[in-house]
Amino acid sequence: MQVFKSKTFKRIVSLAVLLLMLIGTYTIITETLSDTTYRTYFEKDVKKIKDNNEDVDIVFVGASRMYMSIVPSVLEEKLGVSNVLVGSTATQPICGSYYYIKELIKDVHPKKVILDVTWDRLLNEKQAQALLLVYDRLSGVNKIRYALNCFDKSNRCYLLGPCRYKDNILVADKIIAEKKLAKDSWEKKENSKGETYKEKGFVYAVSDVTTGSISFDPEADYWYSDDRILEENKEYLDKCVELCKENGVEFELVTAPCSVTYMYFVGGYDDADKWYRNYAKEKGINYINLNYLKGREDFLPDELMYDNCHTNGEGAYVTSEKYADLLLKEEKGEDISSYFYENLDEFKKDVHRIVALEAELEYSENANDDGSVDATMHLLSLKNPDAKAFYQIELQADGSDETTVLSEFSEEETVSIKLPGYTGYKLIVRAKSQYEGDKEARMVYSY
Amino acid sequence: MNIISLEFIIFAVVFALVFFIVPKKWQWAVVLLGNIAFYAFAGIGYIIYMIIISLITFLAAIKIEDIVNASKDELSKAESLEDKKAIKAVVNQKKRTICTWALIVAMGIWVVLKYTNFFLDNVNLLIEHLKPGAMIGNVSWALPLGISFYTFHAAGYLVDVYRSKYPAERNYFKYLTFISYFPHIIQGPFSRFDELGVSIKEEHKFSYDRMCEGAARMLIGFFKKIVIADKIGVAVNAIFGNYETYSGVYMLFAMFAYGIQLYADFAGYMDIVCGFSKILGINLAENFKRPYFAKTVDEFWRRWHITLGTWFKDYVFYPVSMGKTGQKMGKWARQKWGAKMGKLLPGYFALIFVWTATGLWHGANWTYLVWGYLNLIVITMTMQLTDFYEKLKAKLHIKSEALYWKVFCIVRTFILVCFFRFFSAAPDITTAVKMLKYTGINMQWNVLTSPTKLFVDVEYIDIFFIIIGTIIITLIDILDEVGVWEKIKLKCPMIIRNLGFTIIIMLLIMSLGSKSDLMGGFMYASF
Repeated sequence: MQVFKSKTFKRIVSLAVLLLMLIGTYTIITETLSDTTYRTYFEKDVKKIKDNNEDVDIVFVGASRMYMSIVPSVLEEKLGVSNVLVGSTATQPICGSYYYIKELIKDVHPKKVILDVTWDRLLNEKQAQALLLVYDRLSGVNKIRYALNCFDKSNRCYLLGPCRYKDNILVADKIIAEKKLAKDSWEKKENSKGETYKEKGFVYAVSDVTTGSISFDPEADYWYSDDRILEENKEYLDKCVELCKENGVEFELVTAPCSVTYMYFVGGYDDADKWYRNYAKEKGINYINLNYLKGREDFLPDELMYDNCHTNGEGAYVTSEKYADLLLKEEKGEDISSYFYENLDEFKKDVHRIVALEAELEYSENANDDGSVDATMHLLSLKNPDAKAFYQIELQADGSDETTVLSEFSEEETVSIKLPGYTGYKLIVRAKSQYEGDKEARMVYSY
Repeated sequence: MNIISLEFIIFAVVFALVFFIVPKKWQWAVVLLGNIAFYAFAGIGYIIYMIIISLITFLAAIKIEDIVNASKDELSKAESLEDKKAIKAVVNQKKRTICTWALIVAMGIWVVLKYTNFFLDNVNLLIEHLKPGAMIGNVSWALPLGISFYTFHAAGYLVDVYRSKYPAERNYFKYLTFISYFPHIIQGPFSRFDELGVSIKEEHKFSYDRMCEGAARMLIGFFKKIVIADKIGVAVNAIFGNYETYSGVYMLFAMFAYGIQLYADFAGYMDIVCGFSKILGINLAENFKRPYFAKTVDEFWRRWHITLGTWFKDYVFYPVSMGKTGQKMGKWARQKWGAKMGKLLPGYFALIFVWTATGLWHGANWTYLVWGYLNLIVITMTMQLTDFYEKLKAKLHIKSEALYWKVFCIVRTFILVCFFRFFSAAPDITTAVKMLKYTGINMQWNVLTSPTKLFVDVEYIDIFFIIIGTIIITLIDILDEVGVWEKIKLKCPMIIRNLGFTIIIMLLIMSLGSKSDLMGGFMYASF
């Protein structure tokens, strides 16, 4: 009994209580406020594979482009392989890919790892949020090494749950409800962005974009050149290659589909493709750019894109079918290079339309006596050099189906128009080329 | 090394472990090595200034002591009082010469490094008037870490030995350990050799209770800095940085918020370093005593940056007010205006030196001088008008001990102190005046109906942390001010105490990862 009254005992109890309180509060805050991500579902899939001691043949690693364009079941069926996992996370940094591949090799022993690469993959700085998504999927020493090597000092605090999820305090009820849903239902309901988790990492998106109406920002920093590659990213790519080699795992690079619009307005897109081709050659690995697949304009038009960087669900099935065919041919030792365009110029020759359209409206500050407003519309389009763009501008009142043509199809890129007022209308801009059968590019400008 | 970093926490833990593991007689050497390691993070090259300044003052102090010791023999042999007086005069002269030259060189290094550009800027202003276009380029010297602090530590030590307050230290490395003690090198407190120097040299046993107390204080320090100062500083910077675009209410808010930020930042640092020293068993002087509970500006300065105030009191105020000029002035004032002025005038005279030095110490800029003189004016006016105030209070039946009067005085002092700081916050006097102008015009009081708007650029969740943090710290300060905080700490049940720590730690973790670029840097470190 004397022991319980001793100072030392009291101190130990006090420390233990403090520790328990800290761990308890930390866990409660983290568990309550953490977001429900696709990880929740993916981990269930992986657990099932591990519990059943199943083989995993192919693992896809990379950014959201991968998990929205690769359908594991299609590849499994076409290739006759047992398991295909799409273990990607949103905007995954390349250092994250390296540690994630390490984790997957340890956990599911894949025979082949396919890494997603794009024109900007090696240019990107590490973003805390993207790093954390990979961190969540790692474990043990690998997790610690990743935290130490990939996180900047200023970002390390986000490794602590209460710090990372503090903003969720304000939407705690929503977070808790989402979590309940994730726990109760295996098939997650469609989220606010029209995405649904389907299987083994694959996410099905229902939204789509209309050809030609994909907005593009000519001012944005969308350009590639070899000298913009960050050395650290290149080093981690090398490490990925080495890691797979050391573990006897086949390694491949793939560029998932992006919109045709994107290929047109990303400066130096072709240089990026060339860099990866040369890199793959140098390292003795395969590289496939699905955007350069011949006939891509027909089998994967922009209507099957979710946005500029991702296919929608339907597009994912189309992509996976085509990709599986290629992998099959590759497996048989067939030279698949003839299935691809040599470069962007060759690709562009098969595009006979106005790719995308952008418009900017400039108002006169003062309305006319009759209430109308003089305005000028500046028009811009993405197209091949030999294509001519003809623009038409229509006016539509909000809530009405009727349209009035303000300006007939013409080549003019600066068009003066008269608007009935400052608000309450939409301008529908159409653009078409001289090519026969060209689908119109269309954009709606609300004002 | 940033004190608000994982590196510092690891460094502190390793340092404390080694400190208690090594034989006790070598603990001071561990401190010295720790100081060097800490300093090396800021650039080992800068240590040269510290070595030069410490070496000059160390050797001068020894020389002064040797002269005094040597004179003791001579004094004992002296036959007459005149002989003794003559020997003392010679000794004093020698002591003064050594002390003065050593101070000139040591302080000179600091002055040159800190004030050259300020001097050149003002010379350029003159030249611009005389010969437009001609300019002298500024120098690009970086101010070595903590030089304003260690120079004052060294100067204080030398003057104390000169005044025979305590014997000179004979081991240079032990002296250097005191000068370079890393917890006080960035922002103070100003330490005295007979306190900190002796405390470092003592042997220290590990104490669990002391460790808990020290760690708790460090925690409170981190809390003040991270949860309050760094967060509220975002709004202060945003408003002060674009004062022309904000209405008067925003400016008023920023004025008070800056006061809170400065306190949480500086007092937070003090809590961290004092808490860490407490763990080691080394006593660091206290620098704060709930300053925003001061009822006058004079009292505020006895509660805020206490060690700077006492340093200037001991080494500037007394030498000037008790010196020949000060005494002559007192005598003259007594004859002309009576005993009261005879007593006060030398003090006013000395205060001019104190506030000039205090202003310039805070920064090489005219804004700091104006800020210092504003404090000086209010303090001297308060001293001069004390009798008048007492009479007025008696007439109005105001009791000094009444709670409403105390609260009024506290609020008045807080407003005054925050108001003066416009001059320390602004980059130049013109801007400070403009900021004042914008505080008085276009008030837009309706903003107060949605007060969260005042926290410009602060994330919504961080506003919540700032408010909770400020309430917690104010509550602790109120309890401390009324003298019950210590009792609460002692009698608080273990569960409640641990719950308090848990809440503080969780708030601390949740406040990390601020987008604020203030994160980690301390405001007083730039002074």
